[in-house]
Amino acid sequence: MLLNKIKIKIINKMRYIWAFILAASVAPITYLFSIPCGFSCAQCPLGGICILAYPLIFLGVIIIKFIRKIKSLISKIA
Amino acid sequence: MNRFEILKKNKWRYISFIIGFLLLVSPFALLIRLEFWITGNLAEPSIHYACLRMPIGWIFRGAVNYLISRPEMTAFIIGVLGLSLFLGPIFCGWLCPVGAVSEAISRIIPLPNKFRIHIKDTNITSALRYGFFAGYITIYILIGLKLSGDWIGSICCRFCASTILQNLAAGIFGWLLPTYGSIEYWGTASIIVLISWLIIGGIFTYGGRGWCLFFCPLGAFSNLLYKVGAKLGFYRITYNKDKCSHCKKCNLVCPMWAIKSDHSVETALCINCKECVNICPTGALTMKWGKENATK
Repeated sequence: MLLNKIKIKIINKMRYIWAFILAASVAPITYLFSIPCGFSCAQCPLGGICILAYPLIFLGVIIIKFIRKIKSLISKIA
Repeated sequence: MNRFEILKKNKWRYISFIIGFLLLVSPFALLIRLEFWITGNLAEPSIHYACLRMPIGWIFRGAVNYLISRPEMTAFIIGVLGLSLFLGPIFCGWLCPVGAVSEAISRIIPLPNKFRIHIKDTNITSALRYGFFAGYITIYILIGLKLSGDWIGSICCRFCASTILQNLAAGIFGWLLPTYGSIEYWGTASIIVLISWLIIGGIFTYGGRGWCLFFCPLGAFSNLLYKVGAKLGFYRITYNKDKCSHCKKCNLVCPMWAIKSDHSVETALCINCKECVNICPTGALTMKWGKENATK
């Protein structure tokens, strides 16, 4: 029991440390990768089409959520 | 509780947001106009003269000369951070126009909550928030140590939500002051910021404060000071376990995801907006001064 509690605590701490490291690495990488976008829009081969990336990602998330909901509904009926 | 009841209970906060907008954002920028009137500055006032991101960068890169040469910006950052230590991040919770606009958009657009991002574990939210802040200050420490070029700092200006707000305001209210032009400066970086700030951080984030939670360095810095201030016994939110009825209303109204699973408040995320205090039916959440009954 006690061992399990310690295990859960360690796993949780690892999750927090992982989240922290992930976020910490995102800030410099974001700036580095987006330098060309920041300084000259539409000069890259994409020509500004990356603007569409965000709505597409979110559309994907919404579709996945809908599929999950439909699946759970079907399983409830079955 | 419906939107209008929440609006009524927190009316002073929303009025304060309008005042914040009028004080900082052009073409109004009343605070900057006052500063220019005192100093005799003839430049066109804008939110850039009250930039709170740059002084944070200067602090971490050790650029004391910048802090001295721009006394108005230094005074502003000291004021905001000082307030955060003694009264909590009230600039974020009561005045900041950037947070106010995204929060307002989140409340106006009736998107079901199941489509909104909401991390319920406050420790994970804090880890992500302060992780990003750590990455952000690392950039400035590297600049300070001459391990990185100055340009990496200037790129941050391209990813500034305040600039986007300023440009939007100039486009909407430009007719009030003919010297202010229409919406301009639209590049990919601006679009990325607009989408991250208003669409992802506003509409698709529970509470509409996604930008404040994960990307705002001032917000993270203010909350760190608030956490220290709360531990020292300054003005803070307190939770009374015995009074709590576990109705979870505080959880529903908190825009910063600061309510922990045991319904106490995480001061590393709370912006002292008092939405939870005003909605709590049993008075379990209150604002207090003094050492006793420290925030759990």
